[in-house]
Amino acid sequence: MGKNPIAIRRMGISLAFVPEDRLGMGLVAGMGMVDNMMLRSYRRGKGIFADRKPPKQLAEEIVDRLEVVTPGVTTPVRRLSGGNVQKVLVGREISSSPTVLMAAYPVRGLDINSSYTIYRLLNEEKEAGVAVLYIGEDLDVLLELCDRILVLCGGRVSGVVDGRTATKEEVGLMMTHMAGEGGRT
Amino acid sequence: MSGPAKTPEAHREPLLRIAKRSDISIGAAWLIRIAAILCALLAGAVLILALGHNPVAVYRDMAEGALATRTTRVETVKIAVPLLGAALAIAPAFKMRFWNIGAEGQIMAGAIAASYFALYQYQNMSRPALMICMFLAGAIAGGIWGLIPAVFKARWGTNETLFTLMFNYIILGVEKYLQNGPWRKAGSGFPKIAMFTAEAKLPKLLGVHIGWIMVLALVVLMFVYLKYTKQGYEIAVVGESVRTAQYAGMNVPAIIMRTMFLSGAISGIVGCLQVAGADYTLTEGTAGGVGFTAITVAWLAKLNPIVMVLIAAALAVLKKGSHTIQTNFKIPASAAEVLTGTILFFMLGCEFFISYRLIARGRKERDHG
Repeated sequence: MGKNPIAIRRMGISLAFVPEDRLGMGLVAGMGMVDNMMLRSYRRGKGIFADRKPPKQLAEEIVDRLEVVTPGVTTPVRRLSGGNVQKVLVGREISSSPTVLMAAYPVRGLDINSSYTIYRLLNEEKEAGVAVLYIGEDLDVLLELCDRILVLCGGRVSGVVDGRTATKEEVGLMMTHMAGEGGRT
Repeated sequence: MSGPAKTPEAHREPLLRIAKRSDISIGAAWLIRIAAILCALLAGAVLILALGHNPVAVYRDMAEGALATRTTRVETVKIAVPLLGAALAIAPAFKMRFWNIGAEGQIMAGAIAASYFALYQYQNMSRPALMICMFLAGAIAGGIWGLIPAVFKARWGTNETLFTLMFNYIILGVEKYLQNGPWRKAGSGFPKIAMFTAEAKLPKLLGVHIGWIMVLALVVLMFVYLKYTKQGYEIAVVGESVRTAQYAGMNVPAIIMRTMFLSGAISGIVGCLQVAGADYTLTEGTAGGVGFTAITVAWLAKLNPIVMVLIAAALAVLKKGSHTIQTNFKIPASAAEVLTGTILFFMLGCEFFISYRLIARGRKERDHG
């Protein structure tokens, strides 16, 4: 590891990342959807000018497909609600047709409805064969969503379990130091 | 353990509350600006009355002194050119939230480098070559003077505000050294640098040195650069959030250094314009506070290069006008500056009323900003 995003891309891995801090890292809060769509793709094309046509199409597509509520694709994303901001971010990341999709706390601070939209999108990606790495804390969600769950505790891996057979108690114990001595199965 | 419940009557609404405006129409915004200018003129009038003059006459002379004749218009444009140039230089840095308050020093660095060619190399080359050398030298020197704080910021996270500010004093010291030492005009009792020869003077067009055309061309270039290019986009992203820029794989240190070199280089060109077009020599006052006033211009224009033309022109008119009333009415320079400051205060202050509105007590306001 320790590679920057460009180096990872050059290795041929299309990595998409939904960071936990949406407006502080994944998106530019003061820019509209169009300019935010460009963040990943603005280097494309020759010449010194940035082409805003493809990002505009992409923005409109995401508004339609994910039902983003916004006054317009140039409205600063800061003005959108949390759920809509997340749809913009996840929509952009998915649109790059990634091989690996990382999502860190993708539903933090979202309402139930938006949360389920995000879960549905992640599941769709999973069905399409994308490796989804989901970082979360909600046990119910983890058990529903994941095939495999890797539990970290105190900076160490305390175990890997099968998401279909694991129980909440099992995972919960592994999240504490209790699992370290005798809890391992 | 809660205290007695407050009844609704117990709550007194404040006399004025402040609410953010969501969107304001362009017409309404300009109405506020015009009102602000009227208020500024009124406040200035009180000041002029206190000094014992007739406000109408003073204002008329101000306007006439700046705009009435061809000569005065030329003088006004000469004030506006470096202001606009320096404001354009600051624009990309400020857009990146790199607080470059060192335009003053970068102008001086460019002026010194250009002066070297004007003073010591003029006999070695043709006039066009000399001009090109002067501009290149000015741009490179100014660019390096802007680049050094950027390198430190990008590598070690130093504070660019302090760094660029202090660099102003260093380069001013260099100029004083040259003026008193190696570059001092031989046989002159007063330490000064020789006037440039005719080869090193900028040609004129419509009575003003051709710097005005260059600056206007720069306006267009900067507007396009910031708005439509990939580099302009990078600058905007870095300015909004460094973390997002890193997330997108941008090389943030390189962007900071590249942008500051550009910013310094434009300032350096302004320095070259000043020595070769306006003063025909290098003095301590070559930059003359232009680098600082340009911050006001850039900020008032909200970093929009095209708006900067208007603001720089307005400030130049104020400055030239205040010179005129100093001589016509024997108003002291300090009082004239207070007058300009008052007008600027209102112009800056009205931006608050464009972003926010005041709601008086008792007014029923249902809609949310």
